[in-house]
Amino acid sequence: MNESAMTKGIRPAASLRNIITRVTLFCYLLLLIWRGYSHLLPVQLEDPALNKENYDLVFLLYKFSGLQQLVVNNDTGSLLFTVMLFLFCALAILFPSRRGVIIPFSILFFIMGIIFPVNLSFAAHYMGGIMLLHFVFWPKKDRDFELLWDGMRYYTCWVYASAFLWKIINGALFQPDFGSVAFRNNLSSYLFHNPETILAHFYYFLLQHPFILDFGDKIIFFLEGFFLVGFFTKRFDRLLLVFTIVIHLATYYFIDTLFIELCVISITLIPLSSWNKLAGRFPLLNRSYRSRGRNDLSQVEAL
Amino acid sequence: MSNNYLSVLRKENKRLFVFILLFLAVSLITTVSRTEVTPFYTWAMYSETTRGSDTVIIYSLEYNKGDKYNIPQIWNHHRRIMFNYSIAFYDYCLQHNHADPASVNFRKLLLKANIRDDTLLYRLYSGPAALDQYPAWLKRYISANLGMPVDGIRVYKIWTRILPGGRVGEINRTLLLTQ
Repeated sequence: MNESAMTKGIRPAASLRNIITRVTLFCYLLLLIWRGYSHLLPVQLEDPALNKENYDLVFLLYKFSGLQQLVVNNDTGSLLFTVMLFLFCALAILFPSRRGVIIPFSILFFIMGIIFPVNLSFAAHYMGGIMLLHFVFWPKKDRDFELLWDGMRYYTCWVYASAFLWKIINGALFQPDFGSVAFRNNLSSYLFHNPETILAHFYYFLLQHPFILDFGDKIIFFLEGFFLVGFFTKRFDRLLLVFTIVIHLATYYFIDTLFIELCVISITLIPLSSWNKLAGRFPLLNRSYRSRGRNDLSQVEAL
Repeated sequence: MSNNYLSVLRKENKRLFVFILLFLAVSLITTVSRTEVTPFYTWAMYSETTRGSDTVIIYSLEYNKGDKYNIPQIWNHHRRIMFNYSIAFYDYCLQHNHADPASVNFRKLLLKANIRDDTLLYRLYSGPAALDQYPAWLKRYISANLGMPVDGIRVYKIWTRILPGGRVGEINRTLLLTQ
C-alpha cells in the first residue's frame, strides 16, 4: 500500500491492530510504573483527608457510589485495585485481541482517571486524553477498530486545536506579555527553592529579556493551532507528533506543569507506514495468541 | 471533517455514529457552558488573560530538622504534585471559613430543597473534619513519598517577588501548618 492511500480516508489499520494495541498499552504500563514511582497509585495515597469534587457530575457520582471508600480509603481495596490495574494492563499487552482483559483494564483505568484529580484536590487534566484512548480497543470487528482509531486521531487534533481556539476566545493569544507573566507566576517557587542551578541562571536571563518568553509562548500557541490542519489532511501527522512533544516540554520548562501523559494520545498520529516498518522489524509484536485471521505477519507483509 | 469521516461512520456503523455524535454534542454543551464534566474537558488551560502581580505566593514544606521538600527534577514532577495542589486547596478552604466553597453552595441547594440532613452532603464532599485531618495525612504522605520516617512537618506560606536580575526574594511568610 502506498503512502498516499494511507493518508486518505479511513486508515486500514486492521492488520496492524495487535501491534498498535500492544505499543499503546505498553505506554500505559510505563505511565503506571511512573505513577508508582511518583506515589500516585491508589494504594500509595495514604487515605487522603481532603478531596475536591467541585461541581463535576462524574466526580460527584464517583463519591456517591462509595468507590472512594472501597478503592482508596480501604487498604485491601486499594491494594487489590492497584494490582488488578497492573495485571490487566500486562495481560492486555500479552493478549491484545482478548476483549475479556482489555475491557476490565479500560474500566479500571477510567476509574483511576477519576480517583486521581479528586484526591489531588484539583481538577487537573493530566489523564484527560488517555482516559478515552483505550476504548478504541473494545470493538469486536476490526473495521470498527479502524473507524475508532481514526476518530481518536481527530480527537487528538481537537484536544490541541481547541486549546488554541480557547486562547483566542479567552484572550491569552492577544495578551502581549502572557508568556512572561505566566512564567513569573509558575516558576517563582522553583527559583525560590533552587536559586543556584544552571536552569535558574537561564531563567534569570529570560526574566531580564521577557520578550523571549512572550514571543516563545506565541510560537507554542501557534503549534497548537497547527493541529487544525489535521482535520483536512494526514500529510503532516509526523510533524504534529513532534509538536506534541515540543508543546509539553515547553509547558514544563516555562509553566512548570508536565502533561506528558497526554502525548500518548498522539500515538494515533503515527502513520501506518511506520507501524508496518515496526511490525516488519518486530513480527512478534503483531502476532496474536488467538488468531482471528487478522493479525499475522503475512498480512502485514502483503501490504 | 476531512475525508467525510462522519459520513463513512454513518454508512458503516450507525450505533457508533450516534455514540460519537452524542460525545460531540455533550462536549459542545459543556464547552459552551464552560462546565467541566469528566471526560468532556474544555481544554481551556492557560487560555485566560493573566494579570501580572508583583507578589507571588508559594508554599514551602520542611520536615524533620528543617530539611526542605524540594525535588525539582523533571522526572519528579508527578512526585511533588500531590503536595503542590492539595496544600493550595487546603489554604483556599482556610480562607473560606474553613470549608470547601463548593460544599457550602451544595448545602444551600439542599436547604432550598428542604433537605436538612447532611448525610448526602458529606457523602459527596469532604466534611469539616477533613481540614483538621489534613496535616496528619500530609505528614504520612510525605514520609511515604520520601521513603523515610518523618517526625514532623511545617508548611510555610511565603509571599515572594521577583527582584531586579531575576532572583526571587521573600517579602513575608506565615506558618500555615505544623504536625
